[in-house]
Amino acid sequence: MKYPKVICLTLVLSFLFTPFVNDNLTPISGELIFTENWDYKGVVNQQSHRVKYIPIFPTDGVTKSVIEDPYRLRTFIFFLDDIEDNDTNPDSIVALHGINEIRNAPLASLFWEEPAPGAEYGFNVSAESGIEWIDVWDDSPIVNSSSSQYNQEIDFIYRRVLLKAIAFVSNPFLFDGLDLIVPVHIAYLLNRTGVVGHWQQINKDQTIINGNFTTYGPDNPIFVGPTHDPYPEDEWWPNFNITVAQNVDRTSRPRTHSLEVDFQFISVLATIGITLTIFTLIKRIRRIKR
Amino acid sequence: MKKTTTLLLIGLMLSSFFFMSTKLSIAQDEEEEVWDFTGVIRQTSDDYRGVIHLPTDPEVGNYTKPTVYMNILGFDTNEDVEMDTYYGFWGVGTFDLDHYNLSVKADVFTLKLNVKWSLRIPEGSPLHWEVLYYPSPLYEEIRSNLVHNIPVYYVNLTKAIGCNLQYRMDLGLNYTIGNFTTFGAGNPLVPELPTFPEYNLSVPLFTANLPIPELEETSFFDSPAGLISVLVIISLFSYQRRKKGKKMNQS
Repeated sequence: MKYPKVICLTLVLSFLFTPFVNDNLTPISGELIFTENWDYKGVVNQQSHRVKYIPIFPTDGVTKSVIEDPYRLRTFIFFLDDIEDNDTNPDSIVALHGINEIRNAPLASLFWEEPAPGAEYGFNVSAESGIEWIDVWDDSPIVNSSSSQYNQEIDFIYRRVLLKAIAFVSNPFLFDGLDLIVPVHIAYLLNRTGVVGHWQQINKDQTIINGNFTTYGPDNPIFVGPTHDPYPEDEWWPNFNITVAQNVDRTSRPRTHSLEVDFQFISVLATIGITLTIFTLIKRIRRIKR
Repeated sequence: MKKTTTLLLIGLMLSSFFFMSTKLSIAQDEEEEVWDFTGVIRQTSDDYRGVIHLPTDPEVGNYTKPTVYMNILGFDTNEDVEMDTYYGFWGVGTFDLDHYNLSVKADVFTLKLNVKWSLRIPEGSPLHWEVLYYPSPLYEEIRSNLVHNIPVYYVNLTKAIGCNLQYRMDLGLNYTIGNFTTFGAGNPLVPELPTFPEYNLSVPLFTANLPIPELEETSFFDSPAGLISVLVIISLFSYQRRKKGKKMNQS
């Protein structure tokens, strides 16, 4: 009568080892450094407070026709409302430049592309990678064409933000006439390749999405063809720098409005197994005593 | 003594069985690995065929200048039933090569669902897979014909003369093998017209149609593994019987 014990033990062991032998259950891990220290954090209260901007350029001065940026380096503009205050007005402006939607890129995020009104966003840039926030005011030398510090790219991004702020944000607290009274925090993500920053999005349904901003380029390609060795570098893609918003981790805050399950499924199985074993053992001991 | 010998025999048989089966699986893996990729076509809309050169003066003597195409095929390379990667070949066309004793079967290249393709660039070829994606004007041109906005890995077969891409197509119980051979200066399509058709053309050549070995019906004792497993089962059974018999005798 030793078989029930053996069966129970086999069951317990097989349940315990199942997650380790099944490859599909192994999560994909990225290089995310989990942090709660966000350089800028806030709530996007309206869909129009998160803007995807694809740059357009004039083809010539006569017909005034425009073309889309062939590299599609988009600027994401966030008008963030401070979590601490009680109003729903945007208090800070964050612009992230150089992000494109590249399907099939490693860990490319679809969540990033979808608007999530009411979601809480957090952003930081990685100082180790050499990326820094550029705080731009209307009179900053970086957007003043007569200044030696003038940067045309940043100036373009600032003008875009200004345009969108006027168009979409009906908030008198952000403006003094037509001038912004808060700085625009610009992250130009294309200067370095690798992980250049992090982002977090907490949706209204308490889903937490953690991700990276990773810049790819000639020295860090995304697509290299089915055979890599030897592979001519000029055929890699991309041959320009481009940032991909990746989501590395998706989890959830405890949801109080739904059924709360605060135990692991595997522990339930193990408990059943152990109970069966104890039950069999007791039965066996009793029989021996008799 | 007898018990030890039987145990030793069973051990030897089992180990040889495992050894042989591992060897077989290794051999299979090696055969699979030589291809650059293997994929299955899942949907009819996953393909695109574009004309890249349409001759303006098609007739030269008794011959017609062939049209040159670019083929893009969407493959499921990870067996999840969904198309995931586009692969293509540039500079392909059909031309009758009976005078070279070469067989060109255009019918083979009609798209069939659930056909498993394997492609590789042979070692002697100077070509390599190239990535076609934006901002290339060519990609912008063909993008509207592609179902998914993802890059295309392709081989430009017009870049070098000779055998540049080998294929294998598994369909039903058989597989078809062949290659794309580029004809041009130095290797003309028609020997008596060395400059014809004045551009390079890659022709899909048919080599053979063979039964897929894994799907071939074979007798159980054809493989040594089957024979060994039967022997192991018989010896285990007899060993058990003898053990039981001994116990019965003792009691």
